[in-house]
Amino acid sequence: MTREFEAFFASHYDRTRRAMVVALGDGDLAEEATQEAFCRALRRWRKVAGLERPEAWVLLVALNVSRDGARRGARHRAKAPLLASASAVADRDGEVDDRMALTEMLAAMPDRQRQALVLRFFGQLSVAEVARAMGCAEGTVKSTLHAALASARTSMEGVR
Amino acid sequence: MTSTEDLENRIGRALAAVPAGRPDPLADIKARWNRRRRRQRFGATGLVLAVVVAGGTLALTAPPPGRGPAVAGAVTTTFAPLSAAATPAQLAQDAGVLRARFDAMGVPGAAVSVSGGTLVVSGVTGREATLATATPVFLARPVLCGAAPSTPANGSTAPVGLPTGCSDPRYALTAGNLGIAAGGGGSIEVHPVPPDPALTEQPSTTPAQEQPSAPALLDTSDGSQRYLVGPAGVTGADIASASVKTSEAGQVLVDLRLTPAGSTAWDQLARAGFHQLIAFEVDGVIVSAPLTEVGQSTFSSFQGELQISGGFTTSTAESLATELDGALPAPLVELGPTPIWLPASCTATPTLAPTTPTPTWPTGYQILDAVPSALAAQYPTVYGGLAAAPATPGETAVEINSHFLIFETVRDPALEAEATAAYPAPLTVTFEVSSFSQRCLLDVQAGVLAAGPALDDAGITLSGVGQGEAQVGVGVTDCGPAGDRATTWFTQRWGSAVAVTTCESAQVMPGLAG
Repeated sequence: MTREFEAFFASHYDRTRRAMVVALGDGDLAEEATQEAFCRALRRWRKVAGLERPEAWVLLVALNVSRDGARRGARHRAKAPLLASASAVADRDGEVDDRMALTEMLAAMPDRQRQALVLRFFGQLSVAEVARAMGCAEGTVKSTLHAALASARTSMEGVR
Repeated sequence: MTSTEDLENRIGRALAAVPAGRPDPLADIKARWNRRRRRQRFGATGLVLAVVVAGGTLALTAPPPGRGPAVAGAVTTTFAPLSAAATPAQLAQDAGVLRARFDAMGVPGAAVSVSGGTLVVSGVTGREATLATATPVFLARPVLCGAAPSTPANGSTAPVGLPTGCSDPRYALTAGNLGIAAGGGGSIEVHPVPPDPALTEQPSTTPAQEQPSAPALLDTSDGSQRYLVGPAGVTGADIASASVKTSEAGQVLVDLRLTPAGSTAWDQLARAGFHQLIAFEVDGVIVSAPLTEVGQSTFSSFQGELQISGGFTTSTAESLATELDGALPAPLVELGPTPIWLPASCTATPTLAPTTPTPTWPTGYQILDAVPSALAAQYPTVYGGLAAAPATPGETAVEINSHFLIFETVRDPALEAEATAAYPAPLTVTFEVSSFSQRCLLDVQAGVLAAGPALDDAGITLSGVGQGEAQVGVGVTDCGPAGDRATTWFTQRWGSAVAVTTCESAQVMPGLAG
């Protein structure tokens, strides 16, 4: 493992995990997807390190990993869980409301819109960088983001 | 209208509100990566591995240094039954369980064999061997009430008698207090129940204090809270098999299949705690405390199935499933890595009489986690001395429960006669060590030389060990990183004749690196 990767990990792991927690609404799933993404980055670190924004690559991979995991889970439907996670700890302030609203908003979006919005606003990439990360034209990103934001406005207007 | 700026603000607040994740995720990622690399390596080089394993097994029975092949990198670990009553059949069954566990861990090249009442595991790292043979304490207990997280204050308080229930009914984590409707309906939103203030000052129950049949106050694995839990209804002995599964939502679970007796016990526990929390505890820590059957209005049997969702990553879930998967018929205790002898690079410098024979003795070193009893019996001069309480601090005794670095010199038989004739006085060997990492040196001082003022006092002197063979040893605890090296000096004396052998040796093995 290179020191360069460790430095990259130290700089970007936590933010990526937080973004995934908000995007997925589940800390465990987010951690799993983030770790898997960083593991894949480590496996092909030379290539990833050469990218303009390696952190965008990792965030995109984490999103894809979580999406693939959900699909796989749907294919292999097991019995409904008889044990459910629960927290007896009350939410604090209104921050959690924000988080839940964002999670619900993202969950309702098509994959490409969700990817574009997360990369643009959670990953803080420019439109051009989002386009390169997603392998499409800037114009496509702009229209995708436009649709995503319209959807976001609709779903978040009730939340303050 | 929600503006882009507003959205960005909300995202910023939401990101900031995300609680901290699990500690040391980099270690999880490294473990994940190493497991994949290992799978690839074993798949490609099975033949090479088999050769190394064979060599490692040979080392078990091969003579000490200079007489056996040097096997670099391979770690062979020996385990013995914890109970003297264990039968050969049970040991053979253990071997089968271990092979299955290594296979589940993605280490198909591991070799497990029964040898002389012990189990010899090779082709794996020491950590993998320890993991596969571990038998964690698994307990399922009813949750009675919550308690504030551990703090240095309550952690240091002397233990007092634990209550068997909550100090007030309103603190009890019952279905009523949690607000779970009798009709179920699938909702898992629960009313917050305050922690029992009477437990705040109570220290958590330690694994040493804990008894399955008694209540316990245990921390959750993320340290966010504690629970007072009742007597265990299910234990590790009730588990028939364990594996890793992914839920519909992609959550990583440890899936347990219980024995018939375990299934009955689990149903009894779950029925009694219907719509309440049940804690799953591993080695004294609650890894998960789910609600039972919240989507149902009446209890139904779990049919011997149990899934633990403990906030696992694939890596941590696989580790736990491996440990829980099938109890070892004969629990094992690790004797330590089988000695691996490596050649040391030494230069001998006779410093006195020109007739002094140059001690070109074979020299080697081995690194152990503990002193295997068989070796202790074979080499009582070294190991017996190491095991004994020190009559004089700094002489021969070292702390046993540590990593050991054993040096041994075996004299050339041809020189033996010459030396005996020329120097009939008893041979004295002085062993000195330096140049380890600072951490290691501190450990030496702490473990060996509690009364020793300086590094040079790490010298161990053995007198009168015989003319034909000199054995010297020193124990160190948890030496530095892999590849860390030490320089050692052997000073051999026959009467007035002195020969000094300087060795650039002691390389810390990767499997034992701190």
